Formats: sequence, structure tokens, C-alpha cells
Amino acid sequence: MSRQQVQRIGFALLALAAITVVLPILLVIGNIVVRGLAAINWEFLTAMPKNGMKAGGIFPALVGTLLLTLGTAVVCIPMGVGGAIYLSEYARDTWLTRAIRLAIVNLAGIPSIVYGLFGLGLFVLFLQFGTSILAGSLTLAIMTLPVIISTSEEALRAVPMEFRTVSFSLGGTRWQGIRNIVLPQALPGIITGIILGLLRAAGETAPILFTVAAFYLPRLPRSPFDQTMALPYHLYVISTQVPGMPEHIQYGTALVLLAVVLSMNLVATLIRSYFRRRRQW
Amino acid sequence: MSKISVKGLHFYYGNFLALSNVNVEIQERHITALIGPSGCGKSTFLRCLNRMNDTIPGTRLTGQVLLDGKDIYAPGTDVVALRQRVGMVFQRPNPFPQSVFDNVAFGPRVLGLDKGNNLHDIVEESLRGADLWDEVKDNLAQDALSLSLGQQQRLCIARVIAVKPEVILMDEPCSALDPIATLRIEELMRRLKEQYTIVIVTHNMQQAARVSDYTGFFWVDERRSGMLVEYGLTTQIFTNPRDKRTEDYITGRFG
Repeated sequence: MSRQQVQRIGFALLALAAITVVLPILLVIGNIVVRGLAAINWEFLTAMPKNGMKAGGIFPALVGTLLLTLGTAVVCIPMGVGGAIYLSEYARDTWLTRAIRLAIVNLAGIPSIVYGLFGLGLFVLFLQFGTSILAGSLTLAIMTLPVIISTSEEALRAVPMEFRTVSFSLGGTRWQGIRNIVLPQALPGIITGIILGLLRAAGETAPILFTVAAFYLPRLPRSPFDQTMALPYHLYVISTQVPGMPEHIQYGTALVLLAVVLSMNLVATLIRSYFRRRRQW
Repeated sequence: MSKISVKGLHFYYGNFLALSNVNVEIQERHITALIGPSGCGKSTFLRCLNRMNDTIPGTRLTGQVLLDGKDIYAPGTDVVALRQRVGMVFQRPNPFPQSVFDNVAFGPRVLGLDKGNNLHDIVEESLRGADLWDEVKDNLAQDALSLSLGQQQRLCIARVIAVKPEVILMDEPCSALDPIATLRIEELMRRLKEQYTIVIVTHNMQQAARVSDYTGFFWVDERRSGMLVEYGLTTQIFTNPRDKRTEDYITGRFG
């Protein structure tokens, strides 16, 4: 076999591997879009579920997911970015910071159901928040924190040390250098990390299972201490727990969840590519 | 008149003695060049003069550095105020990835000099001072990184001037520049010394001979510690050095 033939076979195998990865994704998305599109209309998005969820819309679940994502963001963005700034800019390399980093890496690997049980124990029962948006958001925030901290820290470390040195040499304090130079430079990376983290939170079922999600609650929550329906759990319920469920509602719900998550993903990608083009160091 | 007096300065990285017993008087409104082989501690010495070495963990210093007679290493020294008085230009042009205007305005903003003053006036004055105004005045909003390297380095000088320092330290400011851009910086330095005390580290001995009034020659001893071998008027160092090592170095016997 000639070298060219070996190369051609190699390329063919690599292309096959790539197609094997992409094909199932396209099939899943295509299937959901084709079968779900029939259910999508204004009423489906804005009406309460009726007839034991067999008719009507998914409005409370959609609102619930948006509220939970918002609650998660409010808690984990300041904590996550703040923690990343501390680790990257202020903390010396000691056994304590090494332990913190190790903990963050390990937290990122914990199965989401464990977060769910932890949230049940700490927020719902011990702190007596009850099954509520507050407890659910906090649980999702804890799950999201490691993602945001590690991506933000990475983005901060990618900003050349030199800028901090120059800021010092001009009489800036450490914080002024961070605030005026380092943070703006790291922002695209940080925002991407935040969105990817929140997107995972928006799509998870296990952490909200015991902490906030309502099986069937055809009204909007009135306070952070209310339960709420949420898209991922609602999808689980109507797919497995309710006999005789119309298929188009199941697929329609899946499509909405997918659209919420993918549009967040798209925004993250756009932000990243926009800033990458502008970055020159 | 001496602006900075260094007395018995020893500098350590951990246990390693990087600079051994440096004594020097740096003259006000003159250019002092520091020359010597790589690793002889001249950049380390330069960074002792505005306490930039403070940011490196594990460093230690003994002796005194007197700025206008006051020890800048005395307890209670305001390091931020010190760095405003003693500015620094680095080896590689390193403007912030922002507009020309924001680069020059950075120092005045963080130091609060813009209050009560017109920031635009400070920026213009500083860019004029760095011989860059005519080239950028039509587009102060342009990205600093779109300038040529020579312009970027003059922008960095403008950025330092903007905080109204008394001393400007330059760490091989021309090593990344072509000969024409280098010449412009040297012309600029001659003009700047009417107002500022300048200390420049350079590997280029012609440059030291061309621009400086005083020259210090650093050398490494057998323990790899840096020391100041000879210091004096540039004309004397280059025409009639007292130390054999200085003579060998400037005549190129070390390559």
C-alpha cells in the first residue's frame, strides 16, 4: 500500500468517527423538532395545563425553569466570579488553596442526584426553606458553582501577568488593576462559563426533584417559598408518570426545553467568537 | 544634585544574593545608564528603585534607597504614592488592549488625578510630551495595539508621564524596536531629562554612550551575585574606565 493510500484510509476513518458523533445528535434533535413542532403554538407556551396535563399548555413549567435559572444566576454569579478572582488574583499557593481547588474539581464530578439529596437535607429540611424555588435555586447554584469558578479562573489566568505589573507600576492598587484591565479582558471567558453553567442548571432534573419541583401545579408561584413546575421534571412526569399522554405534548415539551438550552448555548458561542476576534494578545 | 541615593543595598531572591552592596547616587534631571552582561542584576536593581520587586514573593532587601533623602523602604511608606513618583517603562511595549486615550488616562484615573482637571488635557499634554500627539490626535479612540511597536512604546512613555512622575525607569525600552524607532525614543529621552530623572537599563552600549550622562557598570562575581563595579560620568566610563572589567566589557572583549 502506498503512503497516499494509507493517508486516504486514515482520513476516511477519521471522517467516519466524526460522523458517528454528529449523526445521533442530528437524529435526536431532528426527531424532536419534527414531532414536537405540531404542538407548538402560542397557547401551548402561555396556557396552564388542563385535564391532568393531557391538554393545555406548559406555561408554569416554562416560567418555573426561567425563575429557577434566574435564582441560580443571582446566587452563583457573584459567588463564582468572586471566588475565581480570589483564587486567581489574591490567594497565595498554600495547602488551603490547593485543597479548595481540589474540592472544586471534585464538586464538578459529583452526580447531580447527590446535589439533589444534599439540597433536600440542608435547604429544605435543616434550614426549613421547604420545597421551594429558594431551596431549588440554591441547590442548582451549588451544582453550578464549580463550573463557573473553574472557567472564570481559567479566563482570568489567561490575561497576561504583564498588565497587572503595568497597573502596579502606574500606582494602581491590585483591585484597580483587576477592575480596569484584567476583568474586562477575562469577561468573555467568564460570561461563556456562566452561560454554560446556567444552561446545565436549566436542564437538570435530579437537583430539583426533591427541592422544588411540583408534579402538577397549574398556577404561577407567588414567592420564593412556593413550589413550582419546571420543564425537565415536567417532561419526566408526562413521559413516564401519566398514562395516555398525547405524544405531541411530550415532544412539544421536549422541544421547548431543547430550545431554551440551545439558545443559551448559541448566545455563549456568539459572545465567545465575537470577543475572540477582537482579542489581540 | 542627587535624586536617589542607594546605600549598601543587598537584594535576595530567597537565599540567593542577587545584588551585593550597591552604592550609587543618581543625579536629578540627568540620564543614568546601567550596563552589564545578562544576569548581572541591573534590571533587578532598577526594580528596587520603585519597589516593583515587592510583587515577587520570597524577595528581601537590606540597605537604603533614599528618594529625596527619604528611605522608600522605611516602614509605613506609601508604595502607591512611591510608584506614582517613580514610573516605569518596560522592555516590550505593553499598552493595555484599550484605546489610546484610555491607556494614557489609566494612571490619572486610578490615582484620582482626573478630579478637578480636564482628563483630555492631561492626555493631550502627555501624548505631546511623549512625541506621539501628532500621530494619534485624529483618532484617540483607536485600539492601542493597532499602533506600530515604536508608537506603542512612546504611548507607554506617555502613560507614565500622565501620572506626573519625578523619576522614569526604563528597562531596555528599545530592545524590541528597529533602529529608527530606537532613535526617536533616544531623542525623546534627551528632551524628557529636562523635566525628569531617567534611569535606563540597556544592553546596547552605543545607546548608553549616546544618551546617558552617567553610566553604571554591573558585573557578576563567582557566586553569581550582581554588583556595581564602576559608576561615573559616561564620558569617563567609556574613554577612561578605572576597572579592568569595565574596559574589557565596553571594548567588546566579552562579546
